[in-house]
Amino acid sequence: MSSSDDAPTSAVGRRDFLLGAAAGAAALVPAASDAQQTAPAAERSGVSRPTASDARAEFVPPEPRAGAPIVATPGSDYMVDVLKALDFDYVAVNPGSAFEGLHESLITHGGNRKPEILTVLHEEAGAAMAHGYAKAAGKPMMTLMHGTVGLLHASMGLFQAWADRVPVFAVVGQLRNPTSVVNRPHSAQDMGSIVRDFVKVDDQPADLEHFGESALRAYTIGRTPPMGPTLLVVDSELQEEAIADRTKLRVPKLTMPSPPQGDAGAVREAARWLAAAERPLIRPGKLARTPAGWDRLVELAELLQAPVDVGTYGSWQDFPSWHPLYGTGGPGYKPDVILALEQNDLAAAVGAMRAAGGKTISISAEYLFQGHNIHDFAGYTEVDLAIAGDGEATLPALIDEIKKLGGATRQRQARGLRVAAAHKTQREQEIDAARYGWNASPVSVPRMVAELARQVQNDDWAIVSGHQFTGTWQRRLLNHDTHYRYNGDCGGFGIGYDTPASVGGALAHRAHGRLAVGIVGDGDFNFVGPGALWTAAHHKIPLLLVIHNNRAYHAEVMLVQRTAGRRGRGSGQMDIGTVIREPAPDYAKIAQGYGVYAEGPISDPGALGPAFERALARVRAGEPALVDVVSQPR
Amino acid sequence: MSAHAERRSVSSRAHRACTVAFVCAGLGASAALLAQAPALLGDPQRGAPLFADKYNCYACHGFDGQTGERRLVPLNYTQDGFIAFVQKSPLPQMPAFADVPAQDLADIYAYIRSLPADAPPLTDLPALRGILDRRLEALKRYPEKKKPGL
Repeated sequence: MSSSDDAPTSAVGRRDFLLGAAAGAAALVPAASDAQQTAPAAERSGVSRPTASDARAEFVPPEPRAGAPIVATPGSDYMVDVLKALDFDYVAVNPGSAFEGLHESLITHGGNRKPEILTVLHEEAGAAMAHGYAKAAGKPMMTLMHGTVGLLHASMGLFQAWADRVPVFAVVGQLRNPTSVVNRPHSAQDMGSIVRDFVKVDDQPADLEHFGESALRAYTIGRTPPMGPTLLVVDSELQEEAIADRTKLRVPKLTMPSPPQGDAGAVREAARWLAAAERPLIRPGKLARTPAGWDRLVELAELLQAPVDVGTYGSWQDFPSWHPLYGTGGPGYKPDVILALEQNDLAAAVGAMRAAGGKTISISAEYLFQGHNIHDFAGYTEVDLAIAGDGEATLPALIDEIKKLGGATRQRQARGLRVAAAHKTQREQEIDAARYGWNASPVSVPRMVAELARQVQNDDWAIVSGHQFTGTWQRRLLNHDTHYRYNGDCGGFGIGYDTPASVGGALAHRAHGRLAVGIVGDGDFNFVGPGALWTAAHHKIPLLLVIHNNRAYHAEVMLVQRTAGRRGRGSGQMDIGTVIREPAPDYAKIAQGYGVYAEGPISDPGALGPAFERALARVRAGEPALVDVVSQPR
Repeated sequence: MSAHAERRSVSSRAHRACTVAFVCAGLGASAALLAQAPALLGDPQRGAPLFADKYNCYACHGFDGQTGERRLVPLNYTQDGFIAFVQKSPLPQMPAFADVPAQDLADIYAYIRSLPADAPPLTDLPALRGILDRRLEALKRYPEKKKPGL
C-alpha cells in the first residue's frame, strides 16, 4: 500500500483497520477506533477489504493507551520543531510502533514538509538513500527506524556511511515499557550499542530539553570532519509526554563549528617542500566536502602544475577526470614529494617514496578519528610531515603559503606540459582499449558507458552510483568536469549500497534539474534495490538505473576459481555459490512490477543506444527508469 | 540457461582442426612427456561452454577474450604451449590449473582461436570517436577556466 493510502485525511488504511478490528474485540482501543471499524476500507482499486482471518493473522497487540488522556501538545511535536531547525528536507521512514508518536507529529504538526517523509521499504535502503543524498546535496538527511529490528536492518547502511565519512542523522524509536510479546524485543537496554562501532555519537535523551540538546550536538558532531553518521534513541513515552508549557521549551541555537585546520607552521613547511619539489604528486582521498574543496584542489594542482592521482576508486568530488593534470604524470614521473590529502591508506606509496629518497606530506582529519572496532585504515604509515586537520579547510592556507614563496614558474609550466602530454597519451590508450569487444555480446562495459555518454552529452548529468564494479570506465569515458558529476563509492565495500544510494543522490539532484544516472551491478540490485526503486517511483524521483548484469558475484567467481587452481582441484565447479543464473533474474520485469518503466535484458550492443534513449525520455519527464544490460564481467 | 547457451554459435567462426606441435614454449612443460602424449583434437563448440560455464575463464578474460585482463586474442601459443601454460602457470596473476584435463584445454584453445582478434577502427565507432574528440577539445582549451562540458 502506498503512503498516499495512509494519508491522515484518507479512509482508514488496512493496517489501522486490522488493528482496530482486533483491538476492538479485545476492548483495548479508544472509542475513536470503534468508529474506524465501520469506516470503509481503502477505496483504491486493487485494495481489498481484509477478512477476519487476515485480522487475526496480522493483529499486533497495541501498547495499552486505552483511556489515556488526549494530549494536545505531545513531546513529539517539540521533537519536530527541533528537527525543522536542522533544515532537513527529507526523512526516510519505514514505519514502526516505537516511533508512532514522532511519525504522527511529522505528518500533522510538521505538515510533512522539511522534513518530508520518504517511504522506504527497508531500513538499509533508507540509510543508503540518506548516504547518497548527503553527498549529492551537501547536507545530511534523516532516517527514522523502529527499535532493534529497524536499527539492525539499517546497520549496514550506517556502516557504509561511517566508512565513507558521510553524515547521516539517524533516529531510532525505543519502547520504554513494552508489554506485548511482539514489541518486547524492540526495546533494548542499550539501543545505541547495536551500531556504536560505526556512528560518531549516540545518545538516548531522558527528557525533551535533553532531546533538543542531543539533536543539535549529534548534528554538529556528524558534520564536523571527519564526518560520520550519528544516532539518537527516542523514547516512546517521551514522544507521548504532554508539554506543560511550550514557551518554556526552546529549540537551542545551531552554531556549526569551523572545521579543524592544519597547524600554520606545519602548513608553511609543507608549502616549502612542495614549492621546491621537482616532481610533486597530489593524491586526494575523500577531500572535498563542498564544491569549494573541488575548486581549491584544482587551484593547487594548477599552481604547482602537479599531477593528481585519485587512485583506483577515486572519490566523490575529487578532481576533474579530463583535466590535463589528472593522472599519475606518466610512467616516467617519479615523484619526489607526495601530498596526500585525506588518505588513510598510504603505506605502499610511502614505502616506494622512502626507497627513492622522496618525502611524503599527509594532511588529514583522519588523525582526529577515534579508535573503532572496525579498522578501515591501513597500517601505520611513516610519512615525513603529518598534519592533523581537514584537507579542504587547510588547502586555502597551503595555497597562500605556496604563492608567497613564488617559485620557478617556467619550471612548473614545463612540468605541466609533460604531465599533460602523458595524460593525453594515456587517454588515447584508454579509448583504443575500449574498442575491443565493442560488438561483443554480452555487452562490453566501455560500450555500455560510451553509449550512455552519447545519450547524455547535452544534459546536466550526474552519476549517482559508485564505479567499483565498472572498472573505472565511467571515469575514463565520462568527463567529470564539475563537482557533482560523480557521487563516489559506498565506502565500506559492501554490496547493496549502489541502488538505494542512487535514489538518494537522484533525489538531491532533482532539486537542481540534473539528470541522475546509476550504473549498478546485478548483485548489488538484488539486495534492497527493487524496494528502493519503488521509493523512486512513489516519490517521482527521476533516475536512470542501468543494471550492469554480469549474472554473477563476479569478483568472487575469480577469487574462488583462483583458489581452486592454486589448490589444484575442483576447477570445474567454482560457479557453485558465485553465479546468478539458471534462472537468470529478469530485472526489467521486477522493475515493472514496482511501477517503473524498464527495458531488458539487452545483450545486443546495437540495441543499447535506442533503449537508453527511450528510458532517458522517461527520466527527463520526471520518473525513474531501468535498463537491464547483460554485460561482460567488467 | 547457461551463459554459453545465450551466446551466439561459434561454429561459423570456428577453426576446426588444431594442429599439435610438440613445443613447450619454454613454460616448464616436459617435452619428453608431451612427445609421448597422443595428439589432441580441439573442438571449439565443446570449448565454448567450458570457457564460459565450467571453468569460468570468462570471468577474467571476457566472453570473447577481448575485454578482460589480460586480453586473450590473438592467442600466440601453440596448443601444447597453451596447455602447459594453463596447467603450470608461473604467473602470480593466474594460478596453475593443474587439474583441468588436457582435452578440455585443447577444446578451450580451439574456442579461443575461433574468436575474433581485431577491434573495429575508431572511425567506425561514432560513440567512442565522439568521446575522444571531446577529450582532445577539452585539452586544447586548457588552461582556460571554462568548463569544457562533456
